[in-house]
Amino acid sequence: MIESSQSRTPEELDEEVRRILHARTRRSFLIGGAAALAGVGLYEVLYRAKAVNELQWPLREAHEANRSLTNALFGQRVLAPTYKASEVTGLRINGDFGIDTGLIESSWGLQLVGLDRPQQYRQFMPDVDLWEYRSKDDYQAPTESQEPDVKGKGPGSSKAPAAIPHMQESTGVTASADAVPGIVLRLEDLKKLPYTEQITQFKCVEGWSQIVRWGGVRFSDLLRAYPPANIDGGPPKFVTMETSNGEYNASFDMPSLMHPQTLLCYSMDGVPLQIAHGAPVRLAMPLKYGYKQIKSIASLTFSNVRTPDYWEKLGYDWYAGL
Amino acid sequence: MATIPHLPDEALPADRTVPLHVVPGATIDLHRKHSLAVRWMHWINFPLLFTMIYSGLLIYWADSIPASGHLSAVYRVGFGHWTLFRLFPQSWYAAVGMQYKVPNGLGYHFFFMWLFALNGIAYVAYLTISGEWRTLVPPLNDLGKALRDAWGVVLFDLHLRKEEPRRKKYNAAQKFAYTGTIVMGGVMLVTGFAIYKPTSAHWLTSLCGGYEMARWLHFWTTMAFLGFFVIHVVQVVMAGWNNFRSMVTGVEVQPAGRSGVEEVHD
Repeated sequence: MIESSQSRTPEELDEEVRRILHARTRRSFLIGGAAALAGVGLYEVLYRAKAVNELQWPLREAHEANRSLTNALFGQRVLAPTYKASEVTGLRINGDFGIDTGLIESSWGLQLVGLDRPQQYRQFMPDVDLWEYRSKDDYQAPTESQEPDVKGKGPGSSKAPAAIPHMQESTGVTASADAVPGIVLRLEDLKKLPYTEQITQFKCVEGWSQIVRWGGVRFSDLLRAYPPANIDGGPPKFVTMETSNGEYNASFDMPSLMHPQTLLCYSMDGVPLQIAHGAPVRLAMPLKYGYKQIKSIASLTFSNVRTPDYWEKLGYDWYAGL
Repeated sequence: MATIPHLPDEALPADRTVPLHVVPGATIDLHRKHSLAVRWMHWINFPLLFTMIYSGLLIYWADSIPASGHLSAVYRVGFGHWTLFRLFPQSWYAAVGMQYKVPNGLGYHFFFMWLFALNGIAYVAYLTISGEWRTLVPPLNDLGKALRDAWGVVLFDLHLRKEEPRRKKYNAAQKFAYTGTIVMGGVMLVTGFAIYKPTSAHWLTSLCGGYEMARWLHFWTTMAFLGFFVIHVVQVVMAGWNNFRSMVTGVEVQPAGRSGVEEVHD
């Protein structure tokens, strides 16, 4: 072996080394190239995967898996840190989706559907859908409505109606097949329940955060006063909430709502909630991003069906847990 | 031809390259430089990190829209109330051809985070178990000298010093840079989780200095990653084909007769 190599020139021996190197290089680059192609292929498969509510199903599944995993890890009872009054920054107004800015607060009621024996309450309605939310925007004289835009034109356009005959509409009406029996709570009814205040950090999915002083009723306190009916032999699993104009909804699993810091909030900074922040009642829950903290809640339905909500249908995570 | 018995890839000893094929009389040898595991994890990390940064950018976009009237306090360069510039201008997103799709950014980010984390954890586990970390981590018992040596490398690379620094497998600056990427990866995972679960894991968020500070760290560590990436690519181009090829094939051509153990100049 040594003799054979001595018989060759160093150039020939270098060539031998290069031959080994080139064989190895070829093999490695072929494997590497195939792996790169496989990677691009997988990426394409993911990119083109069928969308579920605007988001590729593997990404949707990842959100769901992340929810299961983090809930298994942390549970759903961890308390968010609270802050001192001096740390309150106030909350910026960031979107009016589903808010009827002309809502006449005296016509507001919170519909609860799916309660245990709703007839026992004096606020019972055989069909809560007949409850009428009045809006200043609806009270335009016929002549005015012919004009392009009369909103905020003068005192006439903001004139409140003389009477709000919501209850009359339900009386005497025989319940039809699609009637939704339930109760309608007024703000006074909510104010009779224990009042809770908390200063927590509000986080928007856009990235920003602010420290806000919230006041209202714990969801769990509402449930204690108005317990839901069992569904299929057990307590309901989900709740869907909707605004008065039906343009915005949010749905939740029961543990998220039963969290002690989940409030049906009607005051901010110690004063009644502004309409832009979701008056008369909105949700405040430090366990979730702002897009789940629905403003201007009008109805609340217990169910075992998880309804796709406003932002989920636009591609966002349903759970949005923090 | 005398061939050194084929070494399994995982048997790469610390802080040196190993002669792989030695042809007596030839002027060049083949040395094993990067193990198979490191090569795979290095190249897998590249698209994963890219996807994490790109999807992260889609998320950041929502907090840097001047029209919202609320400019991000996190993605800016300035001092106190004085701001030099904010990241990123809308023209930049347009130039890169990005579409404003926050939910897609979130979807990809919270899917690929697992792959990025797993690859990083596998890398650290491999370095620890194989002992290869000794090649990578600067000598902790003489950090002062290690830093001076690294500074010497920087001066040499910037053509401010003629004397070439001594090195084994990696020079002193490379050791800091490569170890730095591991530390940065760890910071990304910790701050990322602190942002992802700031209520459930509020203790972690507090440890990061709060939610806004965690976001600040997450963003600027990403910028550091990009800085590393630019310098890394420039250095790889400067080092040439033999060096680049070794990250794919694992072997490097070296002048004959070098054991790979001693410090080298080349």
